Amino acid sequence: MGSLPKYNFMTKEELLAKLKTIITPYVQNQEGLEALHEDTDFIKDLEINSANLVDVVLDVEDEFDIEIDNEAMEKMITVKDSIAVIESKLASK
Amino acid sequence: MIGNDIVDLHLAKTQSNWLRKGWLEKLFTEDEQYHILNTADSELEVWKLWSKKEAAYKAHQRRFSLAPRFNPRWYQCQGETVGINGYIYHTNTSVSRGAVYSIATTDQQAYFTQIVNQGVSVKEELKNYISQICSVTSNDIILIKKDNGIPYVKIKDQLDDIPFSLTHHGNFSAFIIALRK
Repeated sequence: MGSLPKYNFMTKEELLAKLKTIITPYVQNQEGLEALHEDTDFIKDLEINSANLVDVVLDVEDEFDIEIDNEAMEKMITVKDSIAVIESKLASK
Repeated sequence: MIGNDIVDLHLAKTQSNWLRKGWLEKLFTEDEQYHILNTADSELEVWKLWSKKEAAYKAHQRRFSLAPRFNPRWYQCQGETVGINGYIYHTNTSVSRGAVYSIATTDQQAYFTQIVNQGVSVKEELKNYISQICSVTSNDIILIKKDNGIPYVKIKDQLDDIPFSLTHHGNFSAFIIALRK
């Protein structure tokens, strides 16, 4: 029996939970984290330092074993857009 | 057009590991990476270039009312300028008392900028400055955000809003405001 790729069948909820775990160490506004939703903006709502956005991207790459190119990276400033990037990269694995 | 960005070097050291695998490559062009790695104080150079890019990003975002994006590699540092899609921003970067501070402007843009001390409200300092140069009281000045969160100063009974930009990091804050010639 071949082994299936680890994350190819994740639901949106599972993805969101994974993403929340990844961003938590960089969040400076805990209220924003508690109220996390699809439209949450990493900088505006969570007060993640802009230089730490790259750590979020690198952590996402490590966690999901995907490569995020510059074109995909530029969208990764909200929860919704990040999940869309992760889903599309997982689908093309 | 104006933009600014401040980096608290002490806080940056705890928040970011610039030697992390992939970190430099995602933020800086090949030329910039080469420059950083061949400078005596590479870590300081990282934050100098980063603050230039951030300041230019803010000026460019304001100029074209752009939605926020995370595309630092598009902003290419060359000496004291930053280029993005053929548009050039002039930057000025200073290092003092543990902070790197950059401002970016379009050509011929007059401006006033100030770093404020810890514990002082940067918005109050900005209002104080405006009330002096425009001879209005602080109560007549409000700070507003337009499309895409781009900040302006609105003065009561005056038609033109004035572009300004704020930056905070750790113990440091600063403002820059556009001046008419």
